[in-house]
Amino acid sequence: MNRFENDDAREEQGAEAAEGMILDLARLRPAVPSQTLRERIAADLAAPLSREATSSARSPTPAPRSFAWLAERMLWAAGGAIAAAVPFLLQPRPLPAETNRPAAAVDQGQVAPRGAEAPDPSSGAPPVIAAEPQAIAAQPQVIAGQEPIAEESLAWSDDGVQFIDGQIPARVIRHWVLERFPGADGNGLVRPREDVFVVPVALR
Amino acid sequence: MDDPAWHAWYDRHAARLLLYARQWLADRASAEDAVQAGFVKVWRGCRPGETPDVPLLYAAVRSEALDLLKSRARRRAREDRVVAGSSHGWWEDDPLVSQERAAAVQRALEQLPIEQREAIVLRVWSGLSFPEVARTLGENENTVAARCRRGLAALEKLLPEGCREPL
Repeated sequence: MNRFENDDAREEQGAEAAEGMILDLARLRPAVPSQTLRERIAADLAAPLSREATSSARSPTPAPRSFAWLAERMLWAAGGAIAAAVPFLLQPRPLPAETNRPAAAVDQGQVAPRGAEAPDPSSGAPPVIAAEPQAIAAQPQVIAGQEPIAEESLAWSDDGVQFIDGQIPARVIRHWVLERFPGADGNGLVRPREDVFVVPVALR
Repeated sequence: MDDPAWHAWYDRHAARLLLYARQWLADRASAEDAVQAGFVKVWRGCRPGETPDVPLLYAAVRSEALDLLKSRARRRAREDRVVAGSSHGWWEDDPLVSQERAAAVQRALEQLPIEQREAIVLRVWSGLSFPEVARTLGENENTVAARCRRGLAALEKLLPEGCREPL
């Protein structure tokens, strides 16, 4: 008898022993459920199909869901949604870049000339802005006095309150613009421009 | 809908289903809840005049028992671990069977891994064939046969000396 035959024989013996044990154990009869289980199943089967929960000996059956149940939950859900939306609705909307120009500065005629030079923000002392900013030298490609055919707003910056000539407090707002000029050779030219708005303020 | 057909099914399977559910749920009332929910679900899924698929019935009870076990585990984890000493044993009182050995079999079964235990319960006390056990558990037939065989071998070793003789 070779090894495989030995294994087969052992497996057969094991299977026979298992079957004998199964027959032996099967003489133990499972305990029957309580009488109420049959009644509960009968009640569940007799109930409408929409009923989701089954009756239970442990916990009372929840009442079938009604319209009022649904309406109440919908109301709570709507309240929650409104409460969540309120902070977003109350939050001030940022104005588009083109309309973010400070009106006070324009109205008071405090708009600095084009090309006003900005102070060095990296210096430790409060920046001092020249009362009459110097104009930046025009690009050689652009004809002096030529008006741009288009302007593109790039960014606004609020530099806060600064002291003009070290004495006059003013709020400084910067606006960067990209100007477009018609080129002499027919190609368009672009040039960046920085506008500085100086609004005098009174410190109390 | 009081279909008398389900009563016959109930009489035939209720005790077996209850024993199967008790492999997860220690107390009898919870196990009965699982049997009730599984039985009702499967029976409702049958067309008129049709009888439920037996492995499907056991699978439904298993699913309900596991759901109950999970929901209850959140509240009371300890309840499911202790079955020994429970006021209700797994077996029907039978004057021809030694109560000592019946209790020993229950205790030995409780020590087996659940995979082996449920395969044995389905094969021995539910009377399912291995293909039916495999369908109930969603496993391969050879896998459940091997689990059953290994479980029975382990069970025999776990039984006390005086309880190894045939019942």
